[in-house]
Amino acid sequence: MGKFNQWTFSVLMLLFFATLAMAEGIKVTGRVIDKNSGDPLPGAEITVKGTFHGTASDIDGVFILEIPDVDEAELEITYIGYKTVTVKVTGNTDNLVIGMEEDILKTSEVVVTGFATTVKRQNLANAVATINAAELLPAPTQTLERALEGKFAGIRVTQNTGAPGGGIDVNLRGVSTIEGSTQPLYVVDGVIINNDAIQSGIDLVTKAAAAGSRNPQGQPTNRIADINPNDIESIEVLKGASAAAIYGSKATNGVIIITTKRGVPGKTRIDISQRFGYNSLLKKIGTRRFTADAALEAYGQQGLDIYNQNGGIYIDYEDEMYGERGFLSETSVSLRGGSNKSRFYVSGLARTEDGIIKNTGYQKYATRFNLEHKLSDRSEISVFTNYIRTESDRGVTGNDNTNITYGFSLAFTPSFLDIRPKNGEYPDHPFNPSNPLHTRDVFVNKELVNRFIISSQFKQNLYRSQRQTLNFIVQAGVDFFSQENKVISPPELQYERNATFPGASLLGETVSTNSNLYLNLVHNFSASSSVLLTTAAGLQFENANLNNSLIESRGLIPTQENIDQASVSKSFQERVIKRDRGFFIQEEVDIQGKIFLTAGLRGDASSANGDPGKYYLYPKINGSVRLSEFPFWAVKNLVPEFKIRAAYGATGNQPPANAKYTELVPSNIDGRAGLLPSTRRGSKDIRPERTEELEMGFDALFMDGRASLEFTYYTQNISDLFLIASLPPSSGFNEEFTNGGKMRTNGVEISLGVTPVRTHSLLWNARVNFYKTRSEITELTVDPFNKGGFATFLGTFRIQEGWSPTTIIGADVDANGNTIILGDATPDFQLSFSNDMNFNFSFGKFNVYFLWDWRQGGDVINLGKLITDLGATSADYDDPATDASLNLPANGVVKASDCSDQRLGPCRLELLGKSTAPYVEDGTFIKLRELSVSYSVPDSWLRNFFNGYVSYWKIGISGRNLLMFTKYQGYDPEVSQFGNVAIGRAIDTIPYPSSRTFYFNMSFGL
Amino acid sequence: MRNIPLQKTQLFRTILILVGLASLMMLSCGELNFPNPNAPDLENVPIQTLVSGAEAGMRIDYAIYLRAVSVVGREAYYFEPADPRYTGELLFGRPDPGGFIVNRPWSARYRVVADCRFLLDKANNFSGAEKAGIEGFAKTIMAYQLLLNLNYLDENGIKLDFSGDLNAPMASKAEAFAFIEQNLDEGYTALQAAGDAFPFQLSSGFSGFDNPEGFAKFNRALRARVAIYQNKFQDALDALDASFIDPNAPMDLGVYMVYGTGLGDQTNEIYENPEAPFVKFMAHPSFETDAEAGDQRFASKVFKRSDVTKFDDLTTDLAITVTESDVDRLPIIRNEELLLIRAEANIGLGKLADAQTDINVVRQAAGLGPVTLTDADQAINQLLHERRYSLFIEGHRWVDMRRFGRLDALPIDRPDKDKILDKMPIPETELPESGG
Repeated sequence: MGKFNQWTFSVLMLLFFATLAMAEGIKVTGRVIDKNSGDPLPGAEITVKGTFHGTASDIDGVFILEIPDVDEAELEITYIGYKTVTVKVTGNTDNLVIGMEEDILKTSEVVVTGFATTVKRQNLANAVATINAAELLPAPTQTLERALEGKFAGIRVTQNTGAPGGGIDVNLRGVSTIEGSTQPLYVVDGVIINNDAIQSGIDLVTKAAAAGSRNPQGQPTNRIADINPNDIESIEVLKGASAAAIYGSKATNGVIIITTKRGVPGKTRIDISQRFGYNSLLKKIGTRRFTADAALEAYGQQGLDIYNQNGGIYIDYEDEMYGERGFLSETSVSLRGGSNKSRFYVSGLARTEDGIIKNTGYQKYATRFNLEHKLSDRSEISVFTNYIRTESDRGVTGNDNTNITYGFSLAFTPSFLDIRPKNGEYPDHPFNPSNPLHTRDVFVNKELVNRFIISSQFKQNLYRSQRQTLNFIVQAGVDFFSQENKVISPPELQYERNATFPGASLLGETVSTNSNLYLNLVHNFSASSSVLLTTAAGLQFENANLNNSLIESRGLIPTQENIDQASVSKSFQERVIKRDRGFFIQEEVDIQGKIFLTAGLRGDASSANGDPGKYYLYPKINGSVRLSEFPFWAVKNLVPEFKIRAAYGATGNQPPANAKYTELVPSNIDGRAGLLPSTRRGSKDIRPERTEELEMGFDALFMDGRASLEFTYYTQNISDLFLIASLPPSSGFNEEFTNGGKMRTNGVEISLGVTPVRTHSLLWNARVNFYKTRSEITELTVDPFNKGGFATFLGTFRIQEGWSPTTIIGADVDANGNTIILGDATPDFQLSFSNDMNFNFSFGKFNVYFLWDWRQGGDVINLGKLITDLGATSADYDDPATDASLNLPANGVVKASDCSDQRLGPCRLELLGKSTAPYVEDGTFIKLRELSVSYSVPDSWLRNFFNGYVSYWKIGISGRNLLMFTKYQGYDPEVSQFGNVAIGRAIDTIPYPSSRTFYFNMSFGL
Repeated sequence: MRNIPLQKTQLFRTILILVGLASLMMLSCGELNFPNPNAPDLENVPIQTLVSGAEAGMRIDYAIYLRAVSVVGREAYYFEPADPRYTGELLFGRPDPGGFIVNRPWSARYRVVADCRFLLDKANNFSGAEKAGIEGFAKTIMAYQLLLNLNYLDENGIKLDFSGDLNAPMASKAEAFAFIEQNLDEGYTALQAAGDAFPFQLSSGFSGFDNPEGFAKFNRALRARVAIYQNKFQDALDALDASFIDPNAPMDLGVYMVYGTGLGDQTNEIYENPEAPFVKFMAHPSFETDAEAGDQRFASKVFKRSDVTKFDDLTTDLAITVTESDVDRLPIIRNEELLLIRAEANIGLGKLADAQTDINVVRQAAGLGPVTLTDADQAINQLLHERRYSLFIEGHRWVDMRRFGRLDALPIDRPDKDKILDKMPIPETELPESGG
């Protein structure tokens, strides 16, 4: 990066001196107000059209703008949430009053469509979802991704585990890969953010990856979780390839562009908010009620003895383990201010959160400083700096081969057994290798992240005339973090005491640096009064470097935690280096504001490709026509706005950085280092996956602009799919990456927005988002194979031509011996419904908001049930076994009557190996995602009471995931033992249970 | 209104900078090509690392193999609460061809075979005794690894085409034996031309067998095992003559896999503290009921716990104590087995007296009185009994009962669902139409 910085610096310096200021010009003063209420709008942007030259309104809405070198100009006034206004000024102008209208349906919102260009929403040829600060956070959230749940069509946000600190999958427009990366590209203020999920190494203690599956199962946090949601001004989601093509080979899963808050000129505004709340268990799975006979049957004579000795007591271990009411607190302060030349935003956040399991929790401390400074009327520099520290204590949950995780241990803990500590002593568990209450109280699984995200942007106008402008934009950024993972399994624990080297200490250190440099040129040209051409071109340099090391020490000296206070150690290291180079060129044509056409091309080379010198090309072309602007549009009063749009684009998904190498892996015997071929053979000609998308739709406004409808259909053809071609192990290798196979994904997105009431005293907005997506494997160059899960009979996913890639199969076969499809992890559809009601009374303003999220279908392999069956503690263990209660497929050969024991639990176990269906459940749910009720004290009261020192005062309550309706029998149908994998999600092995959160909020401005 | 063009020199400079940046990008393409930051390439690794790699690799997933064959052979149970397969499919007699029990040991053995094949390639860079030494080692180890997979799959055969061609057929059991024999014999020939010392060092598991001469004895010991599996009794005796068989030596003289806790080393997963509250790997109760009074092999190889463990309708109170810690060694082949192989060969050749001598040597070492062999049937029964107690948890019981056609004599604990498995299925991954 050193080289780039030098270059950037030279460019900056040269361009700085190249700037010339000339005498003469005009001066404009004015005021920006809300057209309806007459209230001033502070922070509205006033720019000379086509340039960066401009200013912003102060706290009273007042602005002063001097424009050199000209005697007339066209001013563009933009304000978030309001329709853009354009005015022409000639000569010096005073007291220009600009009334702006609220843009509830976001028609004139400006949307970023590339590295340096923006388009008004009304012209957009893609269904780009945008969301602003208020919409993003009606209820507080632990991590950013959670706040996106249910917010728009085409996105599916699914948590992997309820553990504090996140671990969330964000899927845009369905499955697009089998083996490649699944998460969208996150760009924050021009920097590509690392969103890796780095394993803690806890698998070394739980041995989760030692048997059925070797995939890591530490259920880590993905690092986008670090971003402070309160800093976000807006989020734009480029959902598919047609919108994201300009991001090339990183954009197959979509791009999420995050813009943080900026300063506002004028009196410095201070916002302070304080929230308190608590977490509590969302749902219990219940446990079996034992009788003496059942205790004898399940746990032998010892079980019966204990049952009798304890008088058959019933201890609710879910209450013991998950019954904590975790205290939450969030303090957030921000300052926004500045002058016409310089503006700043400074924020601080302290959030602490206790989990529903003792000794678990999450803490985040973040600070941000955003500065924008105008060097001259032709150049502007912006710097965004962000420091974040997050700490999470995640406990030990999920899959396990040592029976130490809480869920597994409780499955083997019948309610009549008392393992609660007495006088500080934890009794040994007679039926399980660990006492989970002891583990919970002394086991440590901590993740600590320190992160800096710094970016800068320099804009220079190189040339401008009445008809043309040429701008040069440099963006450079660094995302650096260090992550420390600490796992301590103290030697006094039951399962450690019997080990050869009791006690384990794991220390993982990861250092990651992402850096990028973008150089862009943008040329605007008014070919005639009605045709505007925008040409953009640029170069991209992107580097990523990650170094992960892990030391595992065993034989820990009691009470000690350091890795050197132990008798034996092992260490592991992995480095990931990725370097990408790209270019793009793009042309946009705007004809009379009615027809809008774009064509672009991106080229990308990457060190991850088999041929690192080769540039892969990603074209895009799209267009939109605002039919309602043409004279033939006869229904202008009924449908004031109607746009049809179509877009085509291609993107890629880069191969994993190590796919091209055949590795030799280290081993050791008797102190002598050895090398063995890795189980994966390198692929010399690996290339990116390619997604081509065609998207079509229309946007319409009805009812005097009080209703909007957005309809989008998309179809994606994905080719060159990465496949891990299974090599026969007799070759010495188990697998090899190849490009082969095709997949098609189709979907429909419908968004309906309505403003049923718009009066002075009530503004009510309602929105419904509907989303449905289907994927199908259309070609497979390898044999059909099973992917994900632990084994076929424990439920797995079948990759086969003509099938959905998320098809679930198991051991079940029909009378002809054909495999029966047991389900599909992809939901049938998703529907969210939100209502936002703003009441304006003389005694203050009230806001009521709620968001329901309904996911229909989407099956889950609930192996948690199998674990509780094995422990004979399933809540429905003694229920009668029928074909229906066993969920057996009608065409299967296995029937409930095959069971010698007609109770559900024993029958499920008896059928295990022949039928997996009893463990595949429907994951349909309806959740009350967000609820918020707030009250704002009227301005007049504040003026009287605080003498104007307090600009607003708001109190309220809010909650997240307050209600869940589902028939799913695990803790939450949103689950993924294997984290953010494309295929192999929706497997439940008793994760950290989900919680509901409830807050009391207070905020005020100074 | 005037146009305000940028001065020409400035525009020129800007363009120059952009051109400069563009060329930087071109130049930096070289940077995109760099070696693997994490691991070496095959081309430039020394022989020693591959030899140690092979030795280390022999241990990978061997514990799964040993547990599986011990469970199927009704020597032991493996109570794994987190995985129902050890008390399920293995005892039901229908293991999942896609499951890890079938696949992982199989794959790990072939990984060592691949390592040995790399060694054989590399041997061509050497000459004379050094080349012979590398070949002798690689062929012997390769044969041993293939034999373990053949034991696992038996009549299903193994793959002898190592190219990775999915359509390559499985070699039959007879072809596999022939290939294994051939490699052992070629390895033996090479070892005799390998001079006094190997051009590499072996672990302490080969202590006493770590030069070409000693290693050749190990080679012959394996050769005897392969011969006896095919009822080639005279071959077995011939091979034993050149092996390390010695009635006067300790029974545990032999070659071992060794374990450790060093960086990258493996621990012995067979070990569990026999007095832990819950032990997963436990002996089958019949190991106690069938034991002769005073048999030290019984007393030393199991620990009778004060409590009875009940799991999945199986009960036992016998913890396995064949290892003393998780860095204890596991045998590959040892003197006690060689004596019993000789006894078996002699029974096969009708020389009961010779067989009786060896059997009684083994019995004496176990603190038991001598037996008399009267006829072939009784001799076989006695031999199988001795093999069962002498070679407990060494991976023999199931193989032995199978080759003598006596699988149905193994105990069945849950008659309603259990069945004795005769061979592991062909791993799904070796067949063109996998799964479905």
